[in-house]
Amino acid sequence: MTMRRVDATILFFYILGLIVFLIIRAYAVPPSFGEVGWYRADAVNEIANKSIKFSDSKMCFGCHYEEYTIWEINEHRNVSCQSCHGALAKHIENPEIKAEGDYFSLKYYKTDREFCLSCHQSDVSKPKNFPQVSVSEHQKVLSSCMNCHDPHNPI
Amino acid sequence: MKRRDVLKMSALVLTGAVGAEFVKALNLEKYDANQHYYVFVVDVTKCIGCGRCVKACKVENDVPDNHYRTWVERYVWLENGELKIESPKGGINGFPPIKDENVMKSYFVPKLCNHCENPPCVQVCPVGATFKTPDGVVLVDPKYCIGCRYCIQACPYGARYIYPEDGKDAVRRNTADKCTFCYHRLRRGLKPACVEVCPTKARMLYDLGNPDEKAKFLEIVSNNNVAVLKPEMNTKPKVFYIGIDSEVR
Repeated sequence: MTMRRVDATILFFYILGLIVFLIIRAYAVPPSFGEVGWYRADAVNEIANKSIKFSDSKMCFGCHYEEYTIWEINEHRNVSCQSCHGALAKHIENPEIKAEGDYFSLKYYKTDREFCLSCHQSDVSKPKNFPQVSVSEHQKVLSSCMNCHDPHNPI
Repeated sequence: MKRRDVLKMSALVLTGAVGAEFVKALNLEKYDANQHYYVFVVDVTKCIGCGRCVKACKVENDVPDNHYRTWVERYVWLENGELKIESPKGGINGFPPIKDENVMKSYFVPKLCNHCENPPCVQVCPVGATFKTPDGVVLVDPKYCIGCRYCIQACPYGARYIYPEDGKDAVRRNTADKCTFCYHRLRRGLKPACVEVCPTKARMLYDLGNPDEKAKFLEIVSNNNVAVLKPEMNTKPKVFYIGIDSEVR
């Protein structure tokens, strides 16, 4: 008789422990955890739903088709619009908004010459076939590059 | 009709067509992660060290100052055999020209998370906050990360950092942060921001689930000497480098 009561008590506490564990587990493990792997499956969509800041050059064509048609057949055609003009995803939605982030605006550089030289300054580390200039040899009088070169049609 | 009018008309028609394609690409619902697999190619023979990629990454992903999801290093071999490696501010403002030194050889090496097939960072995470998605991208769940820094120690490439307390993105503060291949852009059918702005196409991303892109990737791999960083670690990186020496690690 006593043995049986002990068995019943052990069984009772075992089941109680199991229930408590399952309740804690239900609260502690976030929803969608383990659906795909050992991580929160919702996290993937949360990251995927972040807003974009850079768009695609094709989108620029809608309004700036004159610049686009010059750019797309000339030497800078492989350079994205946003390489020089900055992050413009919001500008496409609302033309009033200028490029996001300070890094790309011409204001980040002291002169427009410095801006051009951020790519074209001659340097031994650059590939030999990349067009590079040494300012002291290329320009007798220091002036804006754009007096001679149009960035959309540079040559 | 004048030439100008014809141009304007064709512009409108094309805008409509391109716009419709773009809206289709922006549709997030139909994305099946098992139908995509992303690999990255860095061609150091094209890199000019302008730092556009570092800038674009900072803007696109709200990466705070002095922290980098991608950065550019300059390798310089002098004639006496000495090797110099530098990366001033991650190369964000480019590199000052080298003066008065006998340079034997030099090039720029852009670096980023290698999105390893065997990611050591994922293995050490005690809570399952970092993981590899079926499309081959290693991500961090900022809501679940406890900021213990094990993954930062485990990464052989130094690709991770702790997002600072005063960072712009409140969710990510005090958690591990790293390159996502701009996962939010990939899902919309766009290229990562660094690939978008790279003026010399030194950085390229290919989706092996797309037959055309897979063919292009295979062509590049078969026509060039391709290497990965630290292959001896058996991490199986998915960022492939063209034109690097064994000193680049």
